[in-house]
Amino acid sequence: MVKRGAETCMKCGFCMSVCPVYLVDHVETHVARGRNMLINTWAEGLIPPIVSYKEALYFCILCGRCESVCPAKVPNVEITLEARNSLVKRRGLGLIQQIIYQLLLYKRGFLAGLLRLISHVPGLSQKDAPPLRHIADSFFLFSKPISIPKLRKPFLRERISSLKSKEQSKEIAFFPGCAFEFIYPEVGEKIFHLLRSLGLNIEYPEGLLCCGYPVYCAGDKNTAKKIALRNIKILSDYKLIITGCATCMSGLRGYKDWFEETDEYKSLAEDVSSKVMALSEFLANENFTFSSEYSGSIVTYHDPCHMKWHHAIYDEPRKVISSISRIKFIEMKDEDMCCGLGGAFGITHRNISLELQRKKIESIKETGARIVVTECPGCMLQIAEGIKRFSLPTQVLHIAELLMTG
Amino acid sequence: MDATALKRLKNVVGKNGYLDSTADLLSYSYDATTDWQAVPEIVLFPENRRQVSEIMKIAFDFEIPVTIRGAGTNVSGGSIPVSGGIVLCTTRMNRILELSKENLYVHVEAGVVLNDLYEFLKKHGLFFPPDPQSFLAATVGGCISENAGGPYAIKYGVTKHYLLGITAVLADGKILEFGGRTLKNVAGYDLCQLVCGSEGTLAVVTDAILRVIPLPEYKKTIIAAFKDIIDAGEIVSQVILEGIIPAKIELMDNWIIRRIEEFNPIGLPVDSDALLLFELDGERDSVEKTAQKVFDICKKSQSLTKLEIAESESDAEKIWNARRAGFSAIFSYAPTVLAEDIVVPRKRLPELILKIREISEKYDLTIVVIGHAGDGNLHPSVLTDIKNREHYERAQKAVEEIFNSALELGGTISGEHGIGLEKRRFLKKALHSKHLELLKAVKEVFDPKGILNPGKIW
Repeated sequence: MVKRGAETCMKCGFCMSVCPVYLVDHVETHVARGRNMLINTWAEGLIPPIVSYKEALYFCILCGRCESVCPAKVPNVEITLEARNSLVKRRGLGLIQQIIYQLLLYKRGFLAGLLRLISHVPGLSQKDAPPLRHIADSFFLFSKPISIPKLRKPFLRERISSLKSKEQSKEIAFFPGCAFEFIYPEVGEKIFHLLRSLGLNIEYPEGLLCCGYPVYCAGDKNTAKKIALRNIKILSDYKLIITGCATCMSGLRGYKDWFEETDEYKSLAEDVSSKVMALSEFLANENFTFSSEYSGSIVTYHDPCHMKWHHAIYDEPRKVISSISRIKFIEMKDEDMCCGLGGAFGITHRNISLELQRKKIESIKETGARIVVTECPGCMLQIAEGIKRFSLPTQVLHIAELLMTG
Repeated sequence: MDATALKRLKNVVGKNGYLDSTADLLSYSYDATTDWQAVPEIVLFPENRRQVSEIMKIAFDFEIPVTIRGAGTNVSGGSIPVSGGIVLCTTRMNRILELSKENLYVHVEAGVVLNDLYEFLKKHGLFFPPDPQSFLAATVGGCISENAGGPYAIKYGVTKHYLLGITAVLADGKILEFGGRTLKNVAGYDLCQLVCGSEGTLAVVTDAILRVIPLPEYKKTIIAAFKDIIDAGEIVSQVILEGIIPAKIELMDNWIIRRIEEFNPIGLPVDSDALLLFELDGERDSVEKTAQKVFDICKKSQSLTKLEIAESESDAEKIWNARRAGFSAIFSYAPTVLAEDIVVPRKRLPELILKIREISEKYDLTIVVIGHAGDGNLHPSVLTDIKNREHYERAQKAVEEIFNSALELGGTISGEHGIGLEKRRFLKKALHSKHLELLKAVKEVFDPKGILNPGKIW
């Protein structure tokens, strides 16, 4: 199959029926059809004002839902990211982005040190608060429009470094990603213990970086590849890689496409990508059954875009949840509609993000569920903030937090 | 555009109600056709009829062209702002205002998306049949302006058959109601029906009263493939002669059959020349009975290669999805597709298809044939490449001959897509010169300054 570019968009407009961003603002520049047209026009050299072009390229939450209805099967997400990349190549990145992507995310040790330092600033970290609540509490810390998730010490590495397997079996690697390292380390720990308690020989390999996906999305493919390469070299030793973060899963699985055919690391990247599984996907495939401390509760599930739209993982988390006895599962309306965070999009396009959050919270509210489960720390942040914003008596949990073995 | 006018227009809609950056204007420069593009000077998103009226008053005073746009899914070039000026986008007027179950009508704003209307009505056991295949995104306003139809036309008709009344904002900003809330209405010329299908050249439709009907309780799908497309056409006639009006009869040629078997195999013999899909709907018993009749008629054909009644709803869904995907495949097989829209009396469809095959050979082109066999509306799609001048010119000649064939067979050059820009140069072939004069005179009365969607239809 030849590579399908923006020019294969037939402009039917079906993407407009599902695009979460378009459904909020009804502006065609912000939906795949409009963006593809702009990318085409740009490719033909016809659109000089870079500002509005750039704005259009970044006005996409990258949920990938448009691809599910596209009759011409145009890979809109990939096309948008390619376009961002070529814009970055031409124009470079902003200074702050350079610092974040090229220094902080690439130098993990430095990042951890810096975050540890920052965490001494009063109000930026909290040790004793119950899980999750403190994140929501801290959202309104600085100014209302932008939420800043709190750091939670100790970070994951310190929490589970004492749990190194007796000998390095190099069997299963746990890839926690940044959120489970610094923001939700207690959830990272929970995932790790859950897998251990299933008798799995799982390890948290030394030296892993950010998955690189946020950097890739921002258009800095070069740095993203450097980050990926570091991870690939560590992960290729393992037979299986499990993530608890939908975005990391998507990032790692995407490594294979980040490297050109001619790249010497292409086959290694393909190997690593083929070994990545999302937690619920793994659990469902292995037919594990669980109990839960939340037994008897009404539970609903929010599908992270990276699970449902990017990798068609939909039945698996439901299968896992329904394996728990005495859990009443209620599907919410628009369960697979984006929560509105979309990484940096949630900060740069706050109004759209808040409107999508409102819709999501409304769907959750209608179910009457006391617990909303998901599998992506980004979605957890966004939903927790929404719950706080609308005073819902609901708790957001990562799927691992719902599960107990035995 | 005059600076004062621009400022006043922006004031009408407020700061979130317009777009004017380069990228934004480009995003409103096209529709679902391949080769037309024109950039407006401003895109306006009025939220109610009062704002539409204010916009039209300013446009009228300053003689600014106004191109009305819903979702821009039309395939005629109709919503492309060829004269620049204003794109008046109705997508933010998207409220369902009233449903009257006793009177069987629904009052909706122009920007309501058809699929949302279907879903809303379904909850009440009701049905709005016009089903242009862009229904996922297309708006009610666009549907009215193009007098859109779809596969359901054979049994249920097209948009005009469901239009009871509209609110129209005239070129000078005056707000008028045409038609009303009743099925019967002969008070004066029917201006509501005149605006329907006028492609945004006579007035801006801000909201409409649509007739709705009870949702059929049961559906059944039959799939039949044939060695020869002519025999498939014959079967359609026999079904009609038997007194059966299916909800849909869709026809596809061998090219589509092959694509279906490539991407969503449903067990069709790939050397079949044509495929018919029937959908029957109504009360359960009667549907079961007529389905059997259709089945028996098909079974008698010597040319039959496959015949099946879909057992379950999900089987039926699978077949219709395969059809949609097969049709979509056309667009991934060529850089440019001229998706045409001709119509002939149902009985003459086989002749038309033969004619198209001749044309395809004559010009050495791939022309995929798909259509609504039930109502004689065919969509021959010519695969070409606009960047390959020689090939593209051949394709255009072929299209012209296809139009001529449709006219010779007693049909016309557009069944449901409209004239817009695409077929402008062919309209004088389809209509008598006096007829065209009358149309232009009507336009003059409605829009003396020629600001409403200029450059379209003729």
